Amino acid sequence: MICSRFVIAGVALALLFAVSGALGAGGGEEPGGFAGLENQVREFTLPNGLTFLVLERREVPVFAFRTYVDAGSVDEVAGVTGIAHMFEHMAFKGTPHIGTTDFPSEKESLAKVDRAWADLLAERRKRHRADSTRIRELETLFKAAQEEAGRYVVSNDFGSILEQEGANGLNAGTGFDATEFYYDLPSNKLELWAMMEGDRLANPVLREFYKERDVVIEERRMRIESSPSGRLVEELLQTAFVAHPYGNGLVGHRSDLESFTREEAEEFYRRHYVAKNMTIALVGDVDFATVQKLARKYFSGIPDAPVPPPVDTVEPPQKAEKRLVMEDEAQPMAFLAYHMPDRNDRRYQAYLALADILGRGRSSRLYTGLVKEDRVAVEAGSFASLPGEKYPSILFVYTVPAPGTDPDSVVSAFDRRVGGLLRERPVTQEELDGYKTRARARFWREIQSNQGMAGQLAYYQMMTGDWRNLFKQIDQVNAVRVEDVMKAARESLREENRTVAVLRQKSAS
Amino acid sequence: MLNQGRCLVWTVAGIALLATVASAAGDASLWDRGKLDYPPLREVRLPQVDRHVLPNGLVIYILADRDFPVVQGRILVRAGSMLDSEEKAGLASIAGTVLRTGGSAKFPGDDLDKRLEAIGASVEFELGMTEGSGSFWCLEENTSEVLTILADLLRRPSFAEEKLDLAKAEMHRAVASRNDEPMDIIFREGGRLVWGPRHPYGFRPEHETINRLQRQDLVEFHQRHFFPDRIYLTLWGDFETQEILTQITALFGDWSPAGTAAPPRPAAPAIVPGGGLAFAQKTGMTNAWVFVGHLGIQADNEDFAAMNVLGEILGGSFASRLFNEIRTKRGLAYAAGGNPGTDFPRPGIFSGYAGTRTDSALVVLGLIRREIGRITEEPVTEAELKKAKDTILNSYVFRFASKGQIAARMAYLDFNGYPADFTATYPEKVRKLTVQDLRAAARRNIHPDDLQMLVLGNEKEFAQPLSSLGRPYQLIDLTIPEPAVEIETVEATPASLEEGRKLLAAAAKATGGAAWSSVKSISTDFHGGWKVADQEIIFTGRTVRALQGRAYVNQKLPFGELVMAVTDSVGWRKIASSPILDLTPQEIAQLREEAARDLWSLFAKKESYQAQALDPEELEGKACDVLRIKGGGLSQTLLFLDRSTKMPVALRYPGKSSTGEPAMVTEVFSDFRPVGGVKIPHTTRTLHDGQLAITRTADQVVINADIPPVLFERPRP
Repeated sequence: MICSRFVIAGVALALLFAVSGALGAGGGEEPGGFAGLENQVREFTLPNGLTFLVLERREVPVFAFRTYVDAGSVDEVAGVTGIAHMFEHMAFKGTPHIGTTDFPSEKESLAKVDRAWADLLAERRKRHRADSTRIRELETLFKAAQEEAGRYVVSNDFGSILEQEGANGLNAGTGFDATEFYYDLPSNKLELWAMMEGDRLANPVLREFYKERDVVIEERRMRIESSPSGRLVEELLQTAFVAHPYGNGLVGHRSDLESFTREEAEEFYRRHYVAKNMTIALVGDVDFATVQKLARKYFSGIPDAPVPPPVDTVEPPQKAEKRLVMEDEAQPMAFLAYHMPDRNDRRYQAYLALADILGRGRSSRLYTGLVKEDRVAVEAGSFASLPGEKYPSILFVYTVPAPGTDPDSVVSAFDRRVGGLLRERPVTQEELDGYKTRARARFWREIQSNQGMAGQLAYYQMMTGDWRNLFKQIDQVNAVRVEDVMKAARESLREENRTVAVLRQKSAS
Repeated sequence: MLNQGRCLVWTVAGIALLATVASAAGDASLWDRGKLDYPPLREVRLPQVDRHVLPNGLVIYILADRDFPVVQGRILVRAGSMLDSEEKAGLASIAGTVLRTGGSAKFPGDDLDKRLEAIGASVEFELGMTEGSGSFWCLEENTSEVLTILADLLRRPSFAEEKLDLAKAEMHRAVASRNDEPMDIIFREGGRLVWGPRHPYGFRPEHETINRLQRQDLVEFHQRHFFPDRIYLTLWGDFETQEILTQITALFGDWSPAGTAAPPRPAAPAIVPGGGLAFAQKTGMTNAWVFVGHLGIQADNEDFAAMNVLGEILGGSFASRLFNEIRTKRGLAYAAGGNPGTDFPRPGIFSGYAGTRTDSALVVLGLIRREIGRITEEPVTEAELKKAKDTILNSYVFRFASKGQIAARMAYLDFNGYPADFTATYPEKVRKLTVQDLRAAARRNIHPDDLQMLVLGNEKEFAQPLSSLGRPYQLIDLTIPEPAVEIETVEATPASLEEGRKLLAAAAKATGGAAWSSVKSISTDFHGGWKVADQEIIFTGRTVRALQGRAYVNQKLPFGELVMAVTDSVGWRKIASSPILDLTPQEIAQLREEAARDLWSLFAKKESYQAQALDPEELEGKACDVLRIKGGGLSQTLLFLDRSTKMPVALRYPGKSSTGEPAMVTEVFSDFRPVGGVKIPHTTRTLHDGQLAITRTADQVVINADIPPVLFERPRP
């Protein structure tokens, strides 16, 4: 959108260098490289508020895109938890033009499905006064309505079209903070991408909704209900967060899932999948002007509506240690959750360093302390920002006690190690430098590919407000000092600031 | 989903905009893909990649790329499991693993892992079937260090003993679980049918072959096959070409070449006329599985492009013929597909497969054969041809997704003897194909009557038995052969047998004599500890042994409760909250052998055993008489008796360690106490290859307790 002469000249120069770099092997004299890339990223915003970020990388005739929507499970409300994640499953079900043999007829059938579901739900809601015979009748009618609607479905149409046109890596993912959609395509299919992505975002058809809902329930059963560690983490988050929705699960409460309606899903979509609430990044062999033209043509249908408000609830400071104990036949575990600031807090980088030095890898304090030296654990580690980064979240510590060791002993050993870090053995410059090296390595691995770069551009734009922050990331990591990390440790690694979750073995009967 | 009604709630400006939007959304022609006209895909401009060959034959592909401050690369080595002998199948694979995990003298294994982790770098290596391949990645500032590590691993690997043990244990686990997944089974066994079990490509590791591997084998393998003139290195990233070349020369330049060509790949066997039919019985799956195949072609065959297109049409995707006929049309399969059988270093396997409803295995076999026949008889349709070409050509560009990937691919093709323009000329070969070309290629390369066919499932559930196919078939036994850990055989003489008989009788007398014949059951409540790796697992439980071959075990372990019972020839078990399963014939045989080896059996039924006296030995500090017991269900069991008291000291027999590897098991008895007229050991220590593994202490032993018969019966689910 900002097409000043300076930018054009800069881009042209950078392009020249990029091209000559590709042709010359050992040359490598051009001043471009990574720093040059920042000047090559261009952006524009459609009248409806949808922002596009475009980075031309012309070496190979392919491109990657990432659609990043600022809607995740943190945006859900009570009674409808798990709805954000449904859109991961619904992502490629199609539109009125894709995935159906006859949309007008299908539309009517879908309405019938919704009505059949509403009737069934109404009877179930009578709870102890529900008529079980009636329920069975309504279940049969509901199933029949779904089958009827299913006759119009062209299975996997969206995916098949893309496969035939050479798409690579078709995927969608939901987290607590955001939902993303992505794949790569040969670059001569840019207009196909624009058409399909624009159609999908503006006109999604939630076909096979209830079928997918059942798949999600099964997924929940496998990942959480059948997994002791999954259950423990769920309990931990629910306990650590008394007010903020980070305490809800990603997949949702089962009873909420079971009572979803398509209308609720559409309502969530209407509220969150608006143009200003998403960013689309394209990286690869694309031409900026062409992207602009195609964007106007195909993406203008996404509603121009206000960005929904962020979550206003702020988790109040925790004033006392919380402990929860679960008994199970499974292997014992001990998890600890310490409150930490959000991504945009000026202390965030120090917390990332702390989590890494404390518990990432075999040289970390937790591994060397609890696994190698004390031998009270067979696994021990930590990482930051569970379950999300947009709002203040959790620095998460996990341990698997050694056989015969009580999980509470592991927690005590952990406390001693934390005490050591805070007093006798503070973080060293060497440890901090090691973290910075690893952080840089992870950074470069991520953005080397078109898809990785597209993802990072979109992420920085939506999470931090400006994609340019991607190019400031390394400097921010390097600016962290030992004092900053120690301050973060003193601030957060306090007993009053934590929730401890222990999985203990059921005592033998 | 948007519709005009809901749009009205938004702002006025929004409405004006949305009026155009609404019409756009309602304008079906906007979304009409048929109108799209794609420009031709821009040609992939291959970057300039430098190729150097050192005097010792090391080939190096170098691509300087300043985009990011990182350096990465690939390694190819002319060595693989095709070089394994049958007796040591698994050697190459383990050598490849331990080359990396075992580190070198300068960079010992665990320290190496820690260091790479600390600098965010990676070095990986493995030996596959026809070649070894490795990779590395590092920040530019660590290039020198990582290249030094790489050179040391390739030239001077330590093959550390402890890492070899770890790799062997891993492979034992892989062998033990190789029949868990049906698709693993059909492709493995199908491959063996096509290559033939005597062909190196058909060898597979067994417990026994893994046991034979010593560190010396790995050292010799490395000495025999790792030479600079058998290795290709590809590097790309943030460096100066000349500088990196100097570094590589310094690290590899003084490595002496082999001077001879690498061992050739084994010749492909001929396709057996008439093919073959094989069946493997397996229960407990939700589907039956079918595989058909025969030898395919190599990428240098003139029909390479055509076969790839045919493969796409036949079984490449959801729209393919196999998927369509079997699943979409008839709903008989959960999965169906095929493989064109084209490969670079060697011919592939042309195949079709499906996972079917359990009753329909033979019907689906027929359908697959029919489709394979059809594709050689009738030309494919123009529409199928176009779709397959599009799918192949449209995604082809992703083989060149990055400059580094292009360089690596160049090296790979060169390594396998393909011309430099192979990749560039392939798309045109695909594009030019006509339906007649495909038909001709199909007739040359697809032989519907010479397919090796494999059916996997529970024949009892098939709608028709295999014999209904009217042709002889091979039965494939999926049982994983037990390793051979053996008791040494000594020729028995009448004297040693008589001596043995007397000693056995003496032991029976010392522990109760005639009282043994009154024993009808023994119930034991126990607790114990079980050493696995470095850790000890505590358990408690109860066993009940009774007459008529009945046994019951209830053991509480950390992951849950294990309950098992057997009545002569049937049995069941239940672990934690898993469903109740039947015991397999192998498991029942094993339980029977355990019962036959129990001291109660040995002494109460001593006449049914043959006891051979061997030379006395010292065990656990005691001078012992040693008897080899045979018969009565046992083949290799040694019984150690205290020379002075004739009380049992230990039993020894071939078994398995806690990690599933074969081991010599020794059960050492102590704390004999009288119960119900006989003497029962209250402590048993079990050693695996001489190392203490399990300790069991009886808290209570009851002879002839009142046992409800229902204890042994399979509970209702």
